[in-house]
Amino acid sequence: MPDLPVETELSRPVAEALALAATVVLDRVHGPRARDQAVVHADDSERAAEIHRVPIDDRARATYADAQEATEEGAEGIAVLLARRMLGRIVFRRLPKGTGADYLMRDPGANDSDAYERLECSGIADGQESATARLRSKIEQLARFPDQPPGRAVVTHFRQEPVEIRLGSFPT
Amino acid sequence: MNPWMADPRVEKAEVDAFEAERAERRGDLANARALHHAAADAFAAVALGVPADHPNTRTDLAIAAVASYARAGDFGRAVELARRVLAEGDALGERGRRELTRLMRQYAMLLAPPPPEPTPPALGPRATTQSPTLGEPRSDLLRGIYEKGAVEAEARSILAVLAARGITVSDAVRARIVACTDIPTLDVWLTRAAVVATASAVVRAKAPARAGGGGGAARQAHKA
Repeated sequence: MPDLPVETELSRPVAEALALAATVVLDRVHGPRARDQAVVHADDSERAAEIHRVPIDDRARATYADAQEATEEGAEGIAVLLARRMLGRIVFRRLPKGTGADYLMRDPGANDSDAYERLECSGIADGQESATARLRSKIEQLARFPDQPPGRAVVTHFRQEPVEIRLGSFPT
Repeated sequence: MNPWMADPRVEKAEVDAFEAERAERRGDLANARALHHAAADAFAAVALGVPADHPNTRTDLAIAAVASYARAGDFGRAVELARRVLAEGDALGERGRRELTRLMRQYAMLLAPPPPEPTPPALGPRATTQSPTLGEPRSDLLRGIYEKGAVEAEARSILAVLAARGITVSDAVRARIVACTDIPTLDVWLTRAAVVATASAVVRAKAPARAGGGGGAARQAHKA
């Protein structure tokens, strides 16, 4: 999480807020610590990972007192970093809701600056819903906008230990 | 990175839109609308300058602007911008034309119809309540008709937004929306309809303000 602002091209306040949110959620569900173990499931493979938290204080916890808000934004932080580390994509813009995508990301090796992909993010911190079921609904959401550029979806189940992260694509 | 997406105005709009969503969650709808509007203005200004060889960029910035105007409750500006961008359709791809046309039609439905044209009486003084100006009701009777129409249009708008978002509306919630005649309440519900996850959340009592949330995470994180 500390690297999130420099690994993306998002505006710095937004990037820092996402890193803070992810840490607050992890602090809330797993208690204070510096790192969390995670498993990333992509297609039929899985890979161990480690999430490094950013420093937080009571003010940060108060800012993210709304658990749903913290979970949503924290999951965005995880997804944005995953896009960089596992997909080699750079997330460059967060879109307003109602536009058919959460984020836009680009392949740094591509020459066409008008070619990019969508990134959908979702988080679970409580309740009975599984990350697999949530990922399925996010892929369906991407499929509702078939005209749009290709998309990826990342779902983070914070309560699992290790933290469960699932990655899917549309078109598959 | 493409220069329009990296434009400082777009970067600022990203932060404004982010903060607007946070303000909505806190129930600070006036601030949310102002921030959405500022974001929309910036997205629109940049979108209109994107050349035809970047149709995806032009499309996505235009959609961001149109959606932000709608989130600000300014459906008129949303429709106006969509029309303007579509008028320069050569700079859009097929996707952009289709998506902006869809949004324009969707938001045009949400615009209240103009007040009915008054018919002046043949004889006698007119029962005016205010100076007649364009688009305003001229008599108590017309004012009543206008307000009733506005209430019905706003209720229809709330239901249309929920339907467009694929959110199921129970008979009880539908009845409550249709029965409401208080325009400020309907204004709040309409803004909520654009963001909430369930129809029942549209009509629930206002959520209490969050403790310690006044500064906004982005600003606080910036200081951390």
